[in-house]
Amino acid sequence: MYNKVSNKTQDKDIKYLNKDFSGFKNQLLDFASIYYPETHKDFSDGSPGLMFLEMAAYVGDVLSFYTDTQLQETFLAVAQDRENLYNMAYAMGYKPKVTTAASAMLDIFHLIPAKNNGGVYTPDFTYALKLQANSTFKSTEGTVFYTSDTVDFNISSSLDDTQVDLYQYDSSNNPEYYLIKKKVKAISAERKTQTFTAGTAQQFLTFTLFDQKIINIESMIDSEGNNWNEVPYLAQDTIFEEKANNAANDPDLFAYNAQTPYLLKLKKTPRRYITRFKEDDTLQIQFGAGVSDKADEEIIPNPDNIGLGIKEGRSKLDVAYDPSNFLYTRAYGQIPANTTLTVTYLVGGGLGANVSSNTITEKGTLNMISNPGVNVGLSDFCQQSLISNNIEAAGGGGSGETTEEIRMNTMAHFAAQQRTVTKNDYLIRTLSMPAKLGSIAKAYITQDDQITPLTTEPNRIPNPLALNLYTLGYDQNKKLTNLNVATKTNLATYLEQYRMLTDAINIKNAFIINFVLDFEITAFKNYNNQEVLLECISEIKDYFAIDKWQINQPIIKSEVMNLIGAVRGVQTVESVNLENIFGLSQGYGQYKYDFIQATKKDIIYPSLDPSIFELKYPDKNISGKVITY
Amino acid sequence: MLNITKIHPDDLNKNTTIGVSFPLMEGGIFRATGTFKEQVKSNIIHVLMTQKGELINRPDFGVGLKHLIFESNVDIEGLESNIKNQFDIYLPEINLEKVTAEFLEADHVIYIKIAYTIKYDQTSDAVQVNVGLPTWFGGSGKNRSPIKPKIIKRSAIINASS
Repeated sequence: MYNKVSNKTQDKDIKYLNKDFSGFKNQLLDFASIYYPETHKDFSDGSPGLMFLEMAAYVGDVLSFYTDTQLQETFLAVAQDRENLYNMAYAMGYKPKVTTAASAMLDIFHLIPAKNNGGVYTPDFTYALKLQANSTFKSTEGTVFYTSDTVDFNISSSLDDTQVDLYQYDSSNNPEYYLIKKKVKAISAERKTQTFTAGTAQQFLTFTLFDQKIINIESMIDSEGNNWNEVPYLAQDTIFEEKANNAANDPDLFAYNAQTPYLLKLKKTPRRYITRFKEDDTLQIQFGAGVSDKADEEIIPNPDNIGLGIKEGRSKLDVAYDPSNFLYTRAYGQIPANTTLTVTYLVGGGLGANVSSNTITEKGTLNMISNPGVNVGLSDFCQQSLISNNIEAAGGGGSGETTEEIRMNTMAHFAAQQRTVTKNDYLIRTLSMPAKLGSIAKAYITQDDQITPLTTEPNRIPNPLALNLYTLGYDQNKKLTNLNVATKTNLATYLEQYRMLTDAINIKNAFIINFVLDFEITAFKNYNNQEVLLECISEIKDYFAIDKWQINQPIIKSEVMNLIGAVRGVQTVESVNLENIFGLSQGYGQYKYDFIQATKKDIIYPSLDPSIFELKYPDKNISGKVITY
Repeated sequence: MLNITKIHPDDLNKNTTIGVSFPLMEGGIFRATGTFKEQVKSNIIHVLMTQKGELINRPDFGVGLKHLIFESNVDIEGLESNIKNQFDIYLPEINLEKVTAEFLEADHVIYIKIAYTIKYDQTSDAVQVNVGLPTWFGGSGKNRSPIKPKIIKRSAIINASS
């Protein structure tokens, strides 16, 4: 083809579709035959000319391989190189795991003396111990387990109850000791320490923990005793801090400390670092670039401190603010300089950590606290009596994430974006709040709506600016109750970090509807009526167990009838009746609900305002009758 | 009776070249072959001197004479058979008439004498390749360069071996 611009008489026809050796070779052969017919004619297998042509094809093959590979490695969906996957995971905010610790549920027991109150013997809980988190127990198979939470035998709640059994009588046949038991989760890990010396200030300083199977960094303390905190990315200068719910920290919310032992606070931290695993599974620690020595402080956002670090002359009008990092300290945190950092970290996990049941019975390092003012000798005896056991085998230990798992988890994490967008996001985030900040048993979210001011229009109108988050908690007997103010405050602080800017959340109490259930059955003649009846009641109790019920879940009577009808010995189910029961004085909810009006085609629907059906006292609220004809 | 000489089509135009001459860079430059006969000779030497696995994607190509000079006991019959097999596969344009191999173990020198006929025009030709140690390795000097095979006339080979 004649090219006017280049004034060449012929543009050579180059094919761009070849990618492998044979493709290049064949194309080069064609090319030489067409464009150099008088220079080279012999392309037989024995020809030296073919050797040169094949070498060119070889180079082409190698180059296309690297082009393909490099392109492949830029996509999360197909990348194979582990370090690339790590980098992409970190870029999307996901931190891969190089090991997975095994976890076990430990039963912790210890003895406490009985006390005599006017002839009535009860456990003396002043001798109940407080076993601090990070205490260790050892399996007879050799693996060390760390307790992840504090075990406070003084506190008993529905989610963390203290089981009490009479253990020993004295010579007068009066109770002498009680055995108290609590459960705590423990993970297989070994605590290690490494120190790093930081000299003169160096921007974005990095250290590497040359260890394998690192689970996480527990703490980093410098020579001056300052704590350094891990953040997801260096631009984030705020962290969550859990503070004990005591009078000193919050005199108002202290009243609820039995149900909400910790308060969630937001804290600004200039001393921060990020961590990332390298290809060889070592952990790299990186610090920021600032030299500020301002003290940590709790912050209240105000016009003076928002966007503190933005000084590049840009207008603040178009700056995107991240609620978890509204200070924008441009220095990405402080540099450790002329100090020694002590890093304490956990290593462990792996398949070998999945130890058998009844093996975590040896005491390791126990950090126990006794109540003040008790008899020292008796208190020592109580401490010595502490033992542990795991009824079930430890599980979950593994060798970290595979390439595919990193890929899938990164995609999932990226989609989540640490933001609550959908209804389910809010529900999961709400229910995932750690129990020590207050237990949330049930949650339901719906758009806020209002009664229309137009009297001609009976329907409600939706309020697009707000969402109603209906919540309920458990009391110490595992009955539904409204959340206390401290828990709601913690929930508000917790959700604030993930909430969409335009979402307003009203945290409300869901309505509890209590009810009683009556049923009548006929039984086969060769069955014992009482046994059949008890079996039916047991099935109903299981069906209405509060763990299985959610806010706004209707009761389908036919399901209950089928359930009863399926019990061995039941011939027919004559009737199943449910009735509302209410009245605070009787120990039920305050809300009256008309079951007859709410029943459509044998389905009992909850109220328009989110509510939950609760069979509060199963032993009392279920009654059955066997009819004989 | 007319004496008809067949001319290979590649030889019709005297202004064109056929391929690359082997050994490469003889005299410091790449040379091109001018006739089909000349190219066949280059191809024979190429097959003889190439080591197995040396060419990309053709692991079976080549006789590999250079390695043999370090052997203490060369299987001459096996070598001749190997040469025949290689020529059958990679040089289909010739008929191999005779292969003679001789190994002087003390001098580390192999002499290969090959007589052949070009199938197209039935012309006969011969090649002798002498492979020995390079001079920097203690070889016998400038007249016996291992990478510079000596090409002699066919009649000399036929006469010498008969």
